[in-house]
Amino acid sequence: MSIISRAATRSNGQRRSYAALLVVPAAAWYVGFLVAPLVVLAIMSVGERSPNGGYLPALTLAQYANLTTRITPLTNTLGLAALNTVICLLVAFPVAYTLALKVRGSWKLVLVALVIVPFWTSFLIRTYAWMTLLGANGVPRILGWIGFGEIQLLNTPFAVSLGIVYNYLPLMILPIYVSLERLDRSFLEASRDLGAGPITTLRQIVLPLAAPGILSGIVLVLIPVMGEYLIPVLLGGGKTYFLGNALADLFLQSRNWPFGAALATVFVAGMTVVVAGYLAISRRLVRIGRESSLL
Amino acid sequence: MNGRDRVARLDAAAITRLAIEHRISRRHFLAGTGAGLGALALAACAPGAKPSGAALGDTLNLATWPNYHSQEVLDGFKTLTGVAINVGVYGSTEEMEAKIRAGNSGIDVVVPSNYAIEGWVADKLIEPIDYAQMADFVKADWNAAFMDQAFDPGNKYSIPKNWGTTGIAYRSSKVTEDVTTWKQFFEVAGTTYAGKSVIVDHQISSFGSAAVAMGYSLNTIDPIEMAAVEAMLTALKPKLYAISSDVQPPLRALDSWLTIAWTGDGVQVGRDTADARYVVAADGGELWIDSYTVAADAPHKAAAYAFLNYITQPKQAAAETEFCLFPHANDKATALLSAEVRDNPVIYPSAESLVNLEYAVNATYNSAARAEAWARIKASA
Amino acid sequence: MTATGGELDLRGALRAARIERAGGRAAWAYTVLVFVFLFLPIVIVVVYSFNAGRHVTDLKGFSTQWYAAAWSDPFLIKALRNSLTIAVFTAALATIMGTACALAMDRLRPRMRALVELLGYVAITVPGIVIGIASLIFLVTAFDWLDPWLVFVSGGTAPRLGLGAATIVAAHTLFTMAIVTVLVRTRMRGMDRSLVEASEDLFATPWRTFLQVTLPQLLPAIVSGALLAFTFSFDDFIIAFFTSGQDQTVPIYLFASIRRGVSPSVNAIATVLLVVTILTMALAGLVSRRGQRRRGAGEPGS
Repeated sequence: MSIISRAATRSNGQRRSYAALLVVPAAAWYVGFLVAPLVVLAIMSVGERSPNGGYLPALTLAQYANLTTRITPLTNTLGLAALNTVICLLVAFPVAYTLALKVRGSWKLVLVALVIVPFWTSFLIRTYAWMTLLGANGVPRILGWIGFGEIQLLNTPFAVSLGIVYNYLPLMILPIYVSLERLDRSFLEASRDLGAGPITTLRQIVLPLAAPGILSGIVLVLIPVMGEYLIPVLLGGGKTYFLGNALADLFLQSRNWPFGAALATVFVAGMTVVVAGYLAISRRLVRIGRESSLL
Repeated sequence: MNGRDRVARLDAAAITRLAIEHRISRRHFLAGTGAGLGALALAACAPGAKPSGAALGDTLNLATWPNYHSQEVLDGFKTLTGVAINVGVYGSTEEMEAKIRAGNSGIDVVVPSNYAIEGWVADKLIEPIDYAQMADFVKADWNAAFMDQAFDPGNKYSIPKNWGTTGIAYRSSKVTEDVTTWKQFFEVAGTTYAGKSVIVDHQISSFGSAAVAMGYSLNTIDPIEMAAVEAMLTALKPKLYAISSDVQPPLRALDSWLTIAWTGDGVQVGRDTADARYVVAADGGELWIDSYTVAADAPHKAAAYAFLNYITQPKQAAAETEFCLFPHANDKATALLSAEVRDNPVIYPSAESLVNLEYAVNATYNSAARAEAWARIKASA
Repeated sequence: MTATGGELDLRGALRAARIERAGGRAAWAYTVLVFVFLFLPIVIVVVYSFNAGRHVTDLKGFSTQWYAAAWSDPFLIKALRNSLTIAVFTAALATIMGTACALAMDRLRPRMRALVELLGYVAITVPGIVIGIASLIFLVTAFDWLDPWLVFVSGGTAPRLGLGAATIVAAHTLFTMAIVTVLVRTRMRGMDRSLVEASEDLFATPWRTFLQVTLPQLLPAIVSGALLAFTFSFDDFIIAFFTSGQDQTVPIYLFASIRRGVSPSVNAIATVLLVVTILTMALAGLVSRRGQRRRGAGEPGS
């Protein structure tokens, strides 16, 4: 008995060391293509723009001092990202609820697959289609026939919002769907039998169960939207300006790499704070979940 | 300035050249001569004769603009030499520069606009053209108005691909008045045609044209003048339909009625919609040349020169012009064009209309202050 | 229970049922509406791929000319080939390294594990535009350092390192690998450990345990990770835009071509790709369902 267990321990120890080596390729990749580039970016952010554009080594905080000129893109990014995440949530929740609890059998899988199908078409092609739809010959013309007068939709903050909600909706629907799927339908019946109204049921049973899904949906939408570049360019006509656009301009038009690097560094730092916040909240949620299940 | 009263008596080419010369800073004339000498010494060691087919390799990487080259012409080069052309398209000279400055991009031939060339020469991003490897190139065939410019004296580093203007395009069914100057453009863009006007997303063309509208030079980098232009454009921005270089789709769909545009946009929209107009502004503006250059770290140099030798021939140049509808600087090529293209006043505007135009210079392109002013305009609320 | 109470109860239940039914119908109508919203642009893409007009702005009648045009557009075909190659390599690398990383995680020291976890989260959250720009700058700097050494070591025969398909794959793999790791680890948490322990108790080699016990259980997560990696890589514009050399991908081609109006041949390509993906997915669904049925039937005692 003791021999066997000792042998098992030894082989376990060996396996631990060998299997741990499996992390090496991934770790090397992280160092080579994530840490190193971010370090280079940080170094560049204390440099100066060379006269012909690009980077000149220096040690100055001038780039950071200049960041105040990019307040508008910052407030646009934060405001619109938050707003559109909320819209996404409001649009997605009833859909996820219906798919999870109202649809039965094999239809369920088909409908969930249908949520993803549009996203197998190239993002750019879909967005070009929206440009056609929102342009003067699309929806505004139909609205004109109905009698709304001349309405501009394309190249407005509305179009940017629509593009964002459209493109990130599945990322909100799917996690909420997954968490609601686990909900036992008998809970709902029990709640109704106990005389709870629909709103009480929603608040006391559905929402708490959906919370982890809602939280991951929010993160899955909020974070990439904050880094959005193409949607403001294509649907906002270059007028609704995000941090990503300011960044692209600094590298591609102004060729002011150090300033761009400073903006990017602050950007990454900000995102890290958001992620840390998410991790803290989700850990707490997990703990609460565990405690409530213990009860 | 006093060049203008002599206008009538000179021929077209000389006029353009005169107009251009007295406006362009010649400060950076001799920049890069050192690099040039070094490269010449190297070139002297290379075989001067036309390289044999085997030495060309099988690919050539060309960094250029979208819809700029005729596929038949590119295919013809492959038939002739066995070298396949790998085309990469870029939306601006700045994007090309991001790749070429990064280095090791594999790019052999680049087609930047005039204003970038001086800086690229100074930083040794491109090499002097080895005309010895271009046996069929005849300089005398070329329109002197577009050769030997301040940005590249003696065409040591660049050969024109096509040239053009930055003008005003509009749909006359909606814009009922004749828009003829930048001053007028920027006035009506924010008033009569508010919400229907577009300026391109390019510092030189948009900021420059706005500077012209306010009576300054296209190339202004004077802080006070730039501040005035910035204030004007920042106030105009909310009234615009878009700041975007993709001017054709909205103009075709009548999402926009009035726009800054480049020659090709004017011609292409004009071909498909009867009421489209393209005007070279009377009060000035930008004249530009896109030129073939050879990257200093080009991996396929022999193929690059064989390609330049081929594509600058009148027959090929004419075919390219028929395709992209921008004017060409090779007179023999122009002579080969169909009357429809050659006599189209939008493609080949009258010499008089070009008199007030300026080339954007490297100092404008590289000015950190001007780039930042433009970036601030775009980042404004 | 009094009679009135029973009546009230009944009435209340009926009312609740009515509300429920109305609510259900409203939920359905709403869901259908959202699906219409999701598919509207797709319909536009397909319709315009059969449009005879030269530009998206003029509808002119039915034609399949754009399918022929797309097929004979060498730029588009080449970009398509580049995109497919890059996506396949990205998916392969991301799946292998991401899965390996997930398997190793539990055997790492806690502090090391936390570090790798953090790097994964950062890789996922850093915006594409930042990673694109940072990679471009870093790669270029690195190549400038490495190239002279390569020339020195090889005696001048080594090809110079430069931006290209490989650098796009490298940058795409970073993000997608982190996603694969997260997916596989989530699956591992829900996995039945007893089977692995049983296999170990029977003195199976770790490799055999992995192949016969662990891998089959992880397969769904690995497959969905690979699919996600492929899709992301195939559709990415911004990272590819910065890290590409002369090899352009479909999104880069599309982005550049909008300048002078997008040709409907782009819609034709998109339609073909859409049909191919839907067919592949349907086929995969069918095969897996049949496989499940067979396995179910073959199980002893069932």
